[in-house]
Amino acid sequence: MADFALISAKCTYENGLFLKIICAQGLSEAVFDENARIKTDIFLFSYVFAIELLLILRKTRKTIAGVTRYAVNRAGFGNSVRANGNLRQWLLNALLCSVSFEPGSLMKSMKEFSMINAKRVCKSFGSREVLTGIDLNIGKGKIFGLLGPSGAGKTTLIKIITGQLAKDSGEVTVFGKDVNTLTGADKKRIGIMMDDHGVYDRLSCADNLKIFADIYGVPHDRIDKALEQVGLAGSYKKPAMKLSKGMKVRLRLARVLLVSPEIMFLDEPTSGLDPVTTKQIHKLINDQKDRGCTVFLTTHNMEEATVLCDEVALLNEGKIVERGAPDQICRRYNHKKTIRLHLKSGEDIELEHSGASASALEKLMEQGEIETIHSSEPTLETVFIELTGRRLDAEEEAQYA
Amino acid sequence: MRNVLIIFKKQLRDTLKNKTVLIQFIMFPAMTLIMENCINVPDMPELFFTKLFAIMYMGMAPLTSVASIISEEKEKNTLRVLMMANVKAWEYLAGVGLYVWTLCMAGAGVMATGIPNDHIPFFLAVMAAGFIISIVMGACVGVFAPNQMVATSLFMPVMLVFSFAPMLALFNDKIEKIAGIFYTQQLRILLNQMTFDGINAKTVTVLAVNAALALGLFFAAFRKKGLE
Ligand SMILES: Nc1ncnc2c1ncn2[C@@H]1O[C@H](COP(=O)(O)OP(=O)(O)OP(=O)(O)O)[C@@H](O)[C@H]1O
Ligand SMILES: [Mg+2]
Repeated sequence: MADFALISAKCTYENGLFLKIICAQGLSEAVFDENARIKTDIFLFSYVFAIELLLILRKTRKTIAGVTRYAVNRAGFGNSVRANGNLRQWLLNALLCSVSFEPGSLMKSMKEFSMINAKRVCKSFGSREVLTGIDLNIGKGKIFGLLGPSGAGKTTLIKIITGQLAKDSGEVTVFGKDVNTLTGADKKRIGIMMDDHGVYDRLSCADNLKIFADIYGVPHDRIDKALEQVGLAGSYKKPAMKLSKGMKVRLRLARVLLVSPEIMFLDEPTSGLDPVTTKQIHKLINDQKDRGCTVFLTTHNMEEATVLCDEVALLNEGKIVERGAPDQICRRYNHKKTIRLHLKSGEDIELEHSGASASALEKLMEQGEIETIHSSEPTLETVFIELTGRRLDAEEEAQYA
Repeated sequence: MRNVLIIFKKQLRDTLKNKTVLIQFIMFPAMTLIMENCINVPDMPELFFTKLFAIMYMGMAPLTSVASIISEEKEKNTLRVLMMANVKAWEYLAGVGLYVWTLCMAGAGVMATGIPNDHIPFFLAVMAAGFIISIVMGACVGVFAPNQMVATSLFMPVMLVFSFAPMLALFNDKIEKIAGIFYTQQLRILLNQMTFDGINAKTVTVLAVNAALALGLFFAAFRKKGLE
């Protein structure tokens, strides 16, 4: 909000005309939010190009305003509320960029907006609808976590986004291109680790990587580096079948890291691993993020998502039921503030987190009845339960059997 | 083309460690050497074991090894990783086929050590043709089977028919008649004569039909299943 005020103040100073247009279109209530999911569109791209061109040609503000007005009208604010919000935010963003920055910056910011974009993606297997209208937008250098119970369709969504599986309807772009038109060179910029992908059991770790280094045309010294990155330097000559489960996951990660991808898709990179290995893998993923890599991962583990992800989406029954930064989501659901007490008698009680509970709390304290005391902020886990009425790690198989 | 060689190299690296496939390549050439050198029955036809084992080798080794290599990669989902690394299906199949063919030819080379020098090119040519048909059949099975279990149960009967029918044909006229429609039997007849002059219309027809059937089946299986 503060950022918005600042930039808009700058805008007003620089060019009142733009803000007038924004206000006229009801854009003034739009919140400038760094996590805003921004819809990209051929239409919007053309708009950006037009503005860019005009900036380069040093056309008057008046012409630019005209184009913008046209764009705002064409964007169709009569559509759904969500689309409105996103479009508004995007246009606002674009406008702010176009008045306050140099020519060229707008295209650049556009590119960075969207590494992975999905729109209204639907998929059914037979009569079973697995995904019903998924919208996603993942910005560059972000770790995005797709959360959901087993069978929610996480793997299916990754497969669709990476072009391994055909969607029934909707649009998917990666690097701003339709997935089915990605060239070999584009694919080299994407690293994919699916949960069922194997390694060559009889070959050594190094030989496993050598195959892919050759395929990608990566020099062989990258192999040592990749093995080192995942902490497998000591297992250089070890056959893959002699690796532990966690080591195998790391070998598969090394295979992905070999090409220093710009986008990594990791399907349950830590499922079934011990906490120490999990930590190592989190560090690896964070290292990649620091390098500018965009990461799309799936997990059942809410804690993992909370510490690792910049943005998460909760997937349930084929729909994204909530999304945003983990702490943002939790704050949004912090409406039921309580304190949980575990008493010496073994009893668990819950008190309202307010003045009204003070006397009861005081009494319990004086009597020395309290064993433990916790204030209960919502976690992703509790938010998920609240949203769906079920636990994330609950066995889903029975339901679909 | 580069990827074909990469797959070929990968298979070579795997060879010494993959005992089930390795045995296929070694067993018959080794047995040929041993039998030809150790067993000496007075009126046994010349090069009896070489010819017999050569045909069994042809019917067995390429078929089983191609089928198990492809089905293992499918079962362990390594094939999918290759595909995602932009290795084309044909590159993969060509790499595996080339690898198996090369190793089989090396085995045939070992078998040929007992054959008079001027007959060796003929022998190798016959073997080369037979290996190719067997490899395509192995690829049919490999493409069709989702895992190694299914692959084994599919290639077993096929392999038995192609490699044993020519042998059984030695002892039974009826079987000989039926076996005549298999490429292995035709190549066996050809091997017996040890000269390209033995090629007649029937040999060519049977080989062509066998090869066409194998290719047809392969493309049908591939269209239905791809390499998934
Ligand atoms: N090839 C397929 N054919 C039919 N149904 C499928 C297929 N693949 C997935 N499904 C179904 O789609 C649903 C979603 O599967 P998916 O593998 O995407 O779940 P997931 O969220 O990845 O689960 P998990 O956390 O267990 O990996 C499941 O009910 C599954 O049975
Ligand atoms: Mg999954």
